[in-house]
Amino acid sequence: MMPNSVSRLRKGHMARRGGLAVGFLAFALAPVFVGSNVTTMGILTEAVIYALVVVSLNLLVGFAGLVSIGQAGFLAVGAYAAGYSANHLHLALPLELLLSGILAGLVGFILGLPSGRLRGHYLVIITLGFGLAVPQIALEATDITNGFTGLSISNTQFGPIVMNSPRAMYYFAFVVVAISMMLILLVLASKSGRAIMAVRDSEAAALAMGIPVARTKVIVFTLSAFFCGIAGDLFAHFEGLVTPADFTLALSLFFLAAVIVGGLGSVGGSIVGALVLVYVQTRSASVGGYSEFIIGAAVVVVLMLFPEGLASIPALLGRKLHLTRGVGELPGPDAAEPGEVSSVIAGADPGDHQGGVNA
Amino acid sequence: MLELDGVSLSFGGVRAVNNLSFEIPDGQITALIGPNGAGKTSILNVISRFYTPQHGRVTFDGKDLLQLPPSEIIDVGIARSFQNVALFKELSVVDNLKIGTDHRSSAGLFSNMFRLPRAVKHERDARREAEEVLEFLDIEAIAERRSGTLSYGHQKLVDLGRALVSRPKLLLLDEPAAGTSEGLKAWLATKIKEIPERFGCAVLLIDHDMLLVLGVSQKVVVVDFGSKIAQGTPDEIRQDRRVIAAYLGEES
Repeated sequence: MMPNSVSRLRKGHMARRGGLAVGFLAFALAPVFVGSNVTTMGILTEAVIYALVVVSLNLLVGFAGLVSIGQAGFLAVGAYAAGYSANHLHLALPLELLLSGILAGLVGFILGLPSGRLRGHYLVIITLGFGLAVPQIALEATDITNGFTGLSISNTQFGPIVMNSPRAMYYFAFVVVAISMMLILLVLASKSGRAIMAVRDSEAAALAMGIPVARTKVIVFTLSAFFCGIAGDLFAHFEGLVTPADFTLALSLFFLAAVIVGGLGSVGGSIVGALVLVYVQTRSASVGGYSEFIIGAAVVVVLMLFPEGLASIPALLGRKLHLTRGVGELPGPDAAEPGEVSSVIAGADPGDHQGGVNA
Repeated sequence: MLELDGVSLSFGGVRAVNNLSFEIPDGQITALIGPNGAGKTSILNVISRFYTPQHGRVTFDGKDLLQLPPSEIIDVGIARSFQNVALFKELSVVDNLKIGTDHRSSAGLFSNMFRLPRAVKHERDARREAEEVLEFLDIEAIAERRSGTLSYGHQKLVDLGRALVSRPKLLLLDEPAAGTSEGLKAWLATKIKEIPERFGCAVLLIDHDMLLVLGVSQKVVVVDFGSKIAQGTPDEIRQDRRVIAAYLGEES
């Protein structure tokens, strides 16, 4: 009985890895099929960049349980760093990306400091204020941001390679996003990632296991902002022009919607969420002012069908096809006395474990 | 090894722990018993630093525990389970246990992100040690299950395993068998008995199941209304009049 169930679970791991590999190949090969269509390449590039933003936001909202509605602010920091570098510093592309990430990460660190003590609504308000403040600051700090006019980036160049075609720009974004996602996945599958999720699930147990709760929250804010800053850098190169009007509250909410549509705490879900919402947005752009309404409606429909987001579909399918077993028929210490298992379940109400401290 | 000296803890006007002193000897199972609301879990929360007592001293191997934040208690060698299980419920069972080993890894975010050698080594060690404890508790089969979806009995075992895998010198167990079936209770009693020798640690066991407590412990401390009313071997406690009056009389 046991080896059987173990191999089944290993299969789950393999399936997830297989899903990632298929996704990677699909994005890597997409230009082969649609590379000649400039509009489609543009949409795909935007989707890839937004996917990194959405994954970075999911680190906060899904993996750490910290709701942020100012993610466009971090995107702006990275984008302006790219614009400033292109116009004044002329850094090599990898250095520039790193600088954008670090600057945004620094802002995330500062914003994260109060998050150790604040929760829920207060944190939402702080991130909202941040998201609204960044474009205003960009408008005023004309020496750096060139104010209303914005910063333009004429050509994106890495060594001898000039990215002057939609296809080249796509691959540039794809490579940076793929590396970033891999690093995020490595963090999540490590001690650092476990600490982030532990703090979300039970602060009391996290403390008892030696996890410094407040510091972990600051770290996840910094990490989220770092990768969002890198996405901002890509965004600047993709758009070719960075203006304060690019980073609206609506954009932050768009990212949050993609996190929820994809599924909280799922990297793959966030990628799909970004892809779906970018697609809906471009398709609905032709009907003018109704675009945001249609995106909102799409979010509602997805959540009605899949309350845990699109990422829950494989698990739901698996259950339909009886690939996974239900709760309560597991072996364990009670297996010697089969009759006991049901009374274990019925024995007590697990109740609300949150907090876990009882007098 | 652990010593409480004159510890008092109040919440507003309510005195939860009253001038309490006792000692937990090395390598043994000490039981802390008392009726509901006697202050047992409060004492445990003082030791794990969730509560700070107004008076008294708590020392562990000569170190003053009250100087430490709760997140550093596991580093001195004290791990705990939770009465109402506080699992990381979205994480798999094996990840819950790995977190029990994580305080021993010096790998920071950077090492983990780039899988530097010490991060790789810790992942390997964590996996192996988690599997050892899963095997000890006979729950290898649910290693990859999301812990929040498990039955209450299994959750209690995972909660115990997560504390055990941290290789504590002192293991605090807050009603490990409460709310579980009679079969699991008996099985747990034999497992808890094995812990000191197999994992080289002392155990402080809280429970009000007298059969479990007197069967596995070498020393018993009885509290009522936050004060110690008796202390001794299980045999002495069975015959103590005050204990019988305060506790056994009501229970049986």
